[in-house]
Amino acid sequence: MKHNFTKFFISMVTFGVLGLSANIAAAADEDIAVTSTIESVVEVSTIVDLVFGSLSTGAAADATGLACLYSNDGETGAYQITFSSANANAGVFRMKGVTAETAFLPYTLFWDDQVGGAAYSASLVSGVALAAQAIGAIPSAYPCVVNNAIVKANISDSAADGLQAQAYTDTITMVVAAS
Amino acid sequence: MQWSVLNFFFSTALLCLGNVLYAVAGVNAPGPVSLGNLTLGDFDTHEVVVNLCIFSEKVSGTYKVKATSLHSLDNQYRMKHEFSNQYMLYTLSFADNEPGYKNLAYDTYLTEQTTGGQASACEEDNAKLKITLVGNEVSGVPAGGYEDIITLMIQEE
Repeated sequence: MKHNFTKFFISMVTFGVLGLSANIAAAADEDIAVTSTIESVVEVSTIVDLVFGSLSTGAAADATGLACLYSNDGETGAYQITFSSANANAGVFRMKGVTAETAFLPYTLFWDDQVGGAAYSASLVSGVALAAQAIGAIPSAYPCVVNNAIVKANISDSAADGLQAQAYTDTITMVVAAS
Repeated sequence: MQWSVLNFFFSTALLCLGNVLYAVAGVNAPGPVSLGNLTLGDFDTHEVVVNLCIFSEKVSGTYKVKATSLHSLDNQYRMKHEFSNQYMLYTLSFADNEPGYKNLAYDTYLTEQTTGGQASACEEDNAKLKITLVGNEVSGVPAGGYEDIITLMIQEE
């Protein structure tokens, strides 16, 4: 009796293994590496003209303009920026007289990348890069649509002394690059 | 009693061996694939297709397939930036030996795929995996290299 029971038990176990094996389907895994590279882009999509309007001799004046930059350099959208005046002299930004072209009105330029609150840079030197600027976070839209920097020009209270009354203009070339 | 025990082990061993010999399936895939250099401003989708050879010794040649990835989050496939924790989402679609791609949702089997009769000797590709990156994923993330490892799982049905 005991012997028969053992045979029966073994047969049932064997049957169970048979059933289990029949339900195991073959399987295979394969790893596939996928890569891509995003190219570096640092550019300005918008900047407005700086307009002082009419000045009074002996009075200082400021003009500001918003700028919109896109940079995907690093996690903060880092960049460096260079301003060059068409009428610069020894690194000094200058506007030239429209009528009397030998007359120049000097001004200073400042840049604020708006990271960490409003804080303008030291006065810029024409043709010299201002390093270590950043957007803070890489803009989600390209090209940039939300202004993220400010440029300010300043005419000191003595800059117009000795200059004839007329219109003065300058053209500033702005170059941004990865930092 | 002793004979029964031996019989049991022999039977089990033969059944297991028979199962292994019968149920052979596999997938052959090429090495790393690349979506190439992505340029901002190009808002077309970027795609790359991986040709696969999937084989099965099962007569019907039917199988199911699913995929997971190393850098996924919330059931979304993602590529990770080489130096930072920035990611780009992408999607996968799969086509067996019949024309037409089907979306390959994360970690979800796509069933009733067929090998077209290929056995263990994989002679020609009979399936495709398409990796798609939509253009707007390219903005808002740092420049540089991105990578992910996709694990493709094939199981006979």
